[in-house]
Amino acid sequence: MTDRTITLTFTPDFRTVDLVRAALQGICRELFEPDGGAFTFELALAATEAMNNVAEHSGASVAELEVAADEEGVVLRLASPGERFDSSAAAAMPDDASDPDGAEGGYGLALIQELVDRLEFVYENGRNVLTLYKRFNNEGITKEG
Amino acid sequence: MEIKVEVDNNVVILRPVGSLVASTAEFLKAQVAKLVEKNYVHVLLDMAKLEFIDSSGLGACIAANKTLAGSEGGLVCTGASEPVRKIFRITRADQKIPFADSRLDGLRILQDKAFKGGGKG
Repeated sequence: MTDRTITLTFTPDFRTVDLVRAALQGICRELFEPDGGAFTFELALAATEAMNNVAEHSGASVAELEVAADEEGVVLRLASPGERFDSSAAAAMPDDASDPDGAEGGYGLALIQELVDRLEFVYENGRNVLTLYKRFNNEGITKEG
Repeated sequence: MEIKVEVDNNVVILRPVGSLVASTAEFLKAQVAKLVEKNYVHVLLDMAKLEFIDSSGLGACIAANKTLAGSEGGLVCTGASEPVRKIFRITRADQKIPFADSRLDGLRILQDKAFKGGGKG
């Protein structure tokens, strides 16, 4: 998936995450989903959860989101410097929200797993790198040439 | 995000406009806490103008529901787009927070609840 690649470098805080999400939604609208449908919503949500995690836990002062799209789908690669983040402990869905005493938070990584086709995490060169793959499987999506 | 507020008899209708996310979720919780202080405990969350929600926004809805339920009230959602509904389904939050098919249905559910007791009414 190297047809078209865009890299966004940003300060990982919640307000800036909003701006990066808006940029990602704009890229999706421009490239393949002009009306911003379910694919764009789910991709933006997966990216938001990953970026919020970096903003909340990494302590990094800078992060990088690479967006790569081709005719099959989109790959997002989020990299941030810092200590290794063990994602496996946080990937399970918490006690579900239907429980009166159920968790109000902790759904982020579990939601990412539900919304993308594949997720990979590596720690390399002092950076946590999370890669999300989401395929076009919706007939409504046609990518411009 | 801004939240538009209306009162219909004893039910408060909150209409968030924009994105309910990590940077804005506390605002919804604070709005609900203020309503409970004033003894308004039946809230309809009209999501028709909600463009985006993340897990923090979902958490704010769960927290609001707990706060209201703890005061013998409740939260009902309506007007959500399919992607927003999907987030509630995945996490099973929709089993605890009811979704009404229309604003009118939502008002009816909450007004019936208010009639049976709890909060202003």
